[in-house]
Amino acid sequence: MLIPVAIFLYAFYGFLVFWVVMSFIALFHLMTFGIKNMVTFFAASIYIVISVLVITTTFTSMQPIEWQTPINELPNIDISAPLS
Amino acid sequence: MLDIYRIPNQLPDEKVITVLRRDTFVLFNRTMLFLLLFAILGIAAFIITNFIPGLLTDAYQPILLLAGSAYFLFIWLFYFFSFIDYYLDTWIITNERIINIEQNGFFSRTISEERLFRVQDVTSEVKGFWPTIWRFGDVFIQTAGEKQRFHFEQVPHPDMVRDTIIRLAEQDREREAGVLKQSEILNQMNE
Repeated sequence: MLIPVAIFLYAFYGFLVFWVVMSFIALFHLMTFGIKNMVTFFAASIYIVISVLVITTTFTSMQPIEWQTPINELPNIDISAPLS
Repeated sequence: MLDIYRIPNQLPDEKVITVLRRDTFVLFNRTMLFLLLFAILGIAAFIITNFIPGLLTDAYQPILLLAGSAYFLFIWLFYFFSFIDYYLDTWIITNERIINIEQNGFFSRTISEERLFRVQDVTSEVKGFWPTIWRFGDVFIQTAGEKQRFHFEQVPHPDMVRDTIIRLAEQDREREAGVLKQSEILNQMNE
């Protein structure tokens, strides 16, 4: 059976939804119960900036991908240093 | 959001003496774990690029990209969670009270407080190699209140914290005794 790569894209989207919900909960806790100081805002900002960077990079790298490419078998794994 | 300069139910003339968290060594440990997990991603990328280039086909490259991205986002979230767990556990010592704020997971938070004059016994404990080297440990505070024992976990310089609490408790007891004497005098005068 030929499975399109897109299956993994949908799984990734599912993970991303879960991740965004958990991130909101974490940020909500930090901003609600944290101490009102620079560390709290700095930590929240760093988390958001790095997350946005990673997600943007992922989506940019995904643009040229043909998602209907099928996966039907394992590739020929060419290990450059054979055991023998 | 908690404002250190305006703590909850602040008493008149109450001043914050110190705000304690776990020692930074605890955060350092968690950061090291995150960096180790991040390094695994780098090592995997290096091995695949150099030794298993067969995986970098049109069909498998997208899967690796998504898996790598999901892995990073997961460990990043995990690290952020552990930072919040570290950051939200706070112990505040004022000249009149000790306040214990503990975050147990994401949906459980405990805030307790006790007046210093009710403190009966304070014990500091440093156990293990790293706590001895980095000078952090636990402080147990026995009180006469409902919550019998306050536990400051892995705080820096526990001996100094113990001394501070004992000193402040004595001062608070003296102040309380003074207030009682004053009220007794006022009562007698009224009678």
